[in-house]
Amino acid sequence: MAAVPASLLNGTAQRSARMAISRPMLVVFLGGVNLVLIQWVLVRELTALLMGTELVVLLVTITYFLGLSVGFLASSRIPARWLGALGAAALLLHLSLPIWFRLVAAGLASAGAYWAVFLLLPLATPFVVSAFYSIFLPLYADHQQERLPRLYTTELLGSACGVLVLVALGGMGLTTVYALYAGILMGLLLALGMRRVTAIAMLIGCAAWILLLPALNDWSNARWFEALHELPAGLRTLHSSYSAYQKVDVLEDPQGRRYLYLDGLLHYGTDRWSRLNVIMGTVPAELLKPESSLVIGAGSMEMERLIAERGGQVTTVELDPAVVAASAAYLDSVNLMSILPNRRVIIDDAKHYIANTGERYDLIATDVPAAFSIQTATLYSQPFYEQLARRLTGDGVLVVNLTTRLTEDNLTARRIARTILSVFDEVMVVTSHDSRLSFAFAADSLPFSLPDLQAALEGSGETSFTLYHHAAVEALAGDVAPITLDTMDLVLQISASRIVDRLAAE
Amino acid sequence: MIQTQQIAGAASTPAGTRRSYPLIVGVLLGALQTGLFFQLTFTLSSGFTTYLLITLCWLLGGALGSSLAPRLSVSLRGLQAAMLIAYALCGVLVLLFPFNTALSPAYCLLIGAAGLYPGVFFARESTRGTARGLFFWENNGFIIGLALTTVVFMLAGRAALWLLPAGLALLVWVWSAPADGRG
Repeated sequence: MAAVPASLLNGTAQRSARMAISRPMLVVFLGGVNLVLIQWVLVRELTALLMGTELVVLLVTITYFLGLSVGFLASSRIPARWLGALGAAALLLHLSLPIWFRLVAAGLASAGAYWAVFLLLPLATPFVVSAFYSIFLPLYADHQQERLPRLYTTELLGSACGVLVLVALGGMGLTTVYALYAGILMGLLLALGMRRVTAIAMLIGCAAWILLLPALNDWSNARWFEALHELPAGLRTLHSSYSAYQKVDVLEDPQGRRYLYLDGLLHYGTDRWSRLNVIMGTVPAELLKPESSLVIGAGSMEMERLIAERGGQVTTVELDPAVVAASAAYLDSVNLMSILPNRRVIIDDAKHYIANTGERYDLIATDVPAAFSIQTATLYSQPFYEQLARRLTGDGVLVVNLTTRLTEDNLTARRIARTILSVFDEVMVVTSHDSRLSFAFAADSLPFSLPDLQAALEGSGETSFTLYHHAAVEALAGDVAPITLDTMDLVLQISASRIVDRLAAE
Repeated sequence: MIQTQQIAGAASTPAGTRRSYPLIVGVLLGALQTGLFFQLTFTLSSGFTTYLLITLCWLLGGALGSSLAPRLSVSLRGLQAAMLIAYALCGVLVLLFPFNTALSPAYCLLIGAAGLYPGVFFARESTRGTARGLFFWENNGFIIGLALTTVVFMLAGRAALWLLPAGLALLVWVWSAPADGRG
């Protein structure tokens, strides 16, 4: 049997190393499973801490894969006797990762150095997160070379199992996934030759940590939201979960106000967002009296309530079931999901749903996050608006949040407006000075006039706003390019400026 | 005996090639995976099932390729061509039949077929040098491919998802001449 060079070993270490190499397939398989599980935790947590945009997601992904390179590089330099200790350190760091990542971020933000989070955590990630598991395959392969195809096959199968484990258990929450993760890492350490006494002691430590985790998780989550988002002291975490798509948080301040955050970005909880829901929900519902409405994106689902209270069937299409579950459980007083009977939620990708449904709607409102990522940007694209236009009834209207104010120097709002103008014959825009946002009302022929819209806005309590008729919107949008699947440069700009703005705010 | 052959093989491959070849293959694989992800999430579904489809089928294709590598007589160049054809078919299929998830089994097969190449690549290339160097350089290339494709796509649009893999495949094709003994 080939072995780690004897020069690297001595005494009991040689025995440990022999044991370690006697079970390479098991070690590599378990490593493959855990690589996927820890990636799931890392991507959700770090993306939220850095307030997820496309560039942040890319940065986090790169740091994870860089860790694999670190492990590959270290594989020939790390003495076999260190592997057990490294595994124990990995167990400690990984099980506490969400907690210490948040506390580091909160501490730096409180000290006015949030910018350092963008350096410190991505720099630490390759060394403390993914490197450990990538040591084994090259280590074993380079000393038992005939086995590389088997080792590689085994690691890939382990990773595939990791993905399936997440599908089966991811919805049960972080504690469940971590319990499994700890068990797998303990199995790996035993395969590396860890003493049973040490293993039992570590197992007891892990069990204690897993029991404490829910409370520590909620506490650390609230602390970093307080520090990063300057929310009132005494904040409580009502719900925090990693979904298949993002980190979903619902928090409550001491005054009872609730906040919904998706990947660390505010989605509901301030007056600004409530005004958004009124302008996109109440106002068109009052004007149109729709029999059938569609809201793209769930969030707080307050908009759906405002429409449903005015009659007609309201459908929500949302990609992430975790958002719907959190919203229904913790924001029921806002969305009245448990009371209003004329509501339904469809879990699907909006693009897929719109392309396949035969239903038509009197009102479609898009309540989606700004174009921080490529995926959300597709929901502001020309092909998507063309699909939406086909799903409107004859007098149907599309309402879109331009995500900022429509002004001559605001490229994002101008690009979205230009995209809408490229699909619809008539577009009106209202800029709400309270919410500091602009909203477009679009159709081939709008079934209401500008004075009607003004009256509806005033009737809804909007006190300070500017209305733009079609020609004014055309003039403001100017000659910018519409958003298509071939012009996603806007995402890069928004993503970069979001990071710069955040760092400059320090 | 195996050990002797490996050392001889390693000695016959220049050190520069042992780094640059896996690096450029990694860039290609990063570009292809990112391209598949963008194409399918744009015009099939951006649901979790699409992520599952790509990840699982690619992993299983790789596992199959790696386990079959010693018995496969197909050259790496042949498998590379098969991978590119599978990628192109995915792109064409999703354009012709947008948002048609009934075609998921076809995408599964195509992505699995594309995944065969990396599996065979690692198995065969491991005989030319250390696994450490092979995985290290390929992974670095993968990171470059992933980042490059994402940024170039945002700047240049969907053409990047066709042109980048095509250009990189050409590079790998040229590089593979001295490196792929069965090429």
